[in-house]
Amino acid sequence: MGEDVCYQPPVGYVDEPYMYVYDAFQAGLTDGGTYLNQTVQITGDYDFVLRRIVGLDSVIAPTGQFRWRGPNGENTSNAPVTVGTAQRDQLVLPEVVFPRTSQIAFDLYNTQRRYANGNNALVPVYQSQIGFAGVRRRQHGVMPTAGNFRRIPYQTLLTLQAYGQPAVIAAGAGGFGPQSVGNALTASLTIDNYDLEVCMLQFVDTNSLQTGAGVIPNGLNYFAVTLYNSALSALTSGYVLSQFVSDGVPFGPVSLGTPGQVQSNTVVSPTLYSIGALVPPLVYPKETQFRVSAVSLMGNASVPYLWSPTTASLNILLTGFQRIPC
Amino acid sequence: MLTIDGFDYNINYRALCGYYDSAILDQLDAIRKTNNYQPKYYAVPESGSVVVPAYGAYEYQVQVMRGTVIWGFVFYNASGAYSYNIFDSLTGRVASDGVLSSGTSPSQWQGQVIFPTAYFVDAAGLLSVEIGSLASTDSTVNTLQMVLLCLEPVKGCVDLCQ
Repeated sequence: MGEDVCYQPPVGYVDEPYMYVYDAFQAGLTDGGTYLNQTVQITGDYDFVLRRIVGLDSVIAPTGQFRWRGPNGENTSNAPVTVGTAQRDQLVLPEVVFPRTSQIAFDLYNTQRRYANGNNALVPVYQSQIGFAGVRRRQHGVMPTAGNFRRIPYQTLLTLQAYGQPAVIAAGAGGFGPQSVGNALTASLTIDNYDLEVCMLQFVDTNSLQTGAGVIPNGLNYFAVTLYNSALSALTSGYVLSQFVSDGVPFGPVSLGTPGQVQSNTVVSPTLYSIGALVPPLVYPKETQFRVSAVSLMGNASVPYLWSPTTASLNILLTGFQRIPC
Repeated sequence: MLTIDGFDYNINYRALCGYYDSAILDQLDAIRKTNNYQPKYYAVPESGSVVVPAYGAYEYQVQVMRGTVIWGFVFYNASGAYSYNIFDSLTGRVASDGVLSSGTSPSQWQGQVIFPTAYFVDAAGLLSVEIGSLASTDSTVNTLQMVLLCLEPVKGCVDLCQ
């Protein structure tokens, strides 16, 4: 399947990868509850084309259920469907267009928010989100696929370094999630030679200073991130778990480790969600910037987390093409 | 050249001629962008309280809209092994059948199982689902559900299709 037969938006429209995120902590959910008619609001500037729903297992218990509704309010299932591990990553076929200012509505049955600090529930760091992935579509544009150029494969690595959560989070104060963290770090890559077409991202954690007890269990995230396009417009509606936008497939051998053991060069959540591709690819013209912002989901050593690495790096592997004019 | 176009976000996917994934995704390509269909899921059983007896079977008939297409399923089972059979009630034509074993890891069957060919349900709109237990103990509540992944004609389009 070459580019010539790849999906193209309708003539006169431009697609851009986008993800709306529903954060269970921010929504004020509690575990074991049933929450009907939860909504994610589609912004007023773009239509949204829904193609995938990820992260259900981070919000709903293994025996919990989920049901979502289309743009006209119609239920998409005859009954709430059990999530388990089987439905945590749902492909939406056919794609569903949500007009601007509409809502994605859904019901949650038997919630169970995922959090990152193991058995210590005093200050849980919630990693409990549902990501609605697809594209946002706007009129009056041209897809940046036209022009005379040839593609040269390109790959580069950006590194973010982060420390534990701010110490203002006191033990026993409740919890927090990605959207409540203020200290974001930003990595950027200035495109100074040829236009860059970014096709996929891989987030690789490096935790050289961890000790045996300081490891986030497998399947959890060190970071929540947001991406930006060449106009520095965010491509997620908030900070999303890095596993939602990172392809977990490693390049070559990777030590996955197990909880309680030191990990190194671990690709984030290698098997949870296979969603690392940017569809359609993001094009960054010369003299613009590729940018990623990240917030740390790690605990500070001053509060009693089971894991509290003193430092960790987030390596962002960009894969794509340089466009050489011809 | 990466072969990603939004339908399957998996970057491991390669459009290799003759391979199963390529073939079935190619068949579904025609319907993924249709605007006269909408996604519809049918949960069988609807209630999580259903128990399938050891070596017994659970049978269910799903009434779907005329013109519905079924393209895959998801089978959630926390433990035990089951056989399944999805067929058109009117014609008896089998859409899919097989044996699903959770074994020690239910994640073996996570995700959608996509049919080799999308199946148009007959005009009667009745699908039968049989789930047979291969386990020596009864299933427990809330541990078993098959979700049929369908495309349903958008209201108003049905008559135009006749």
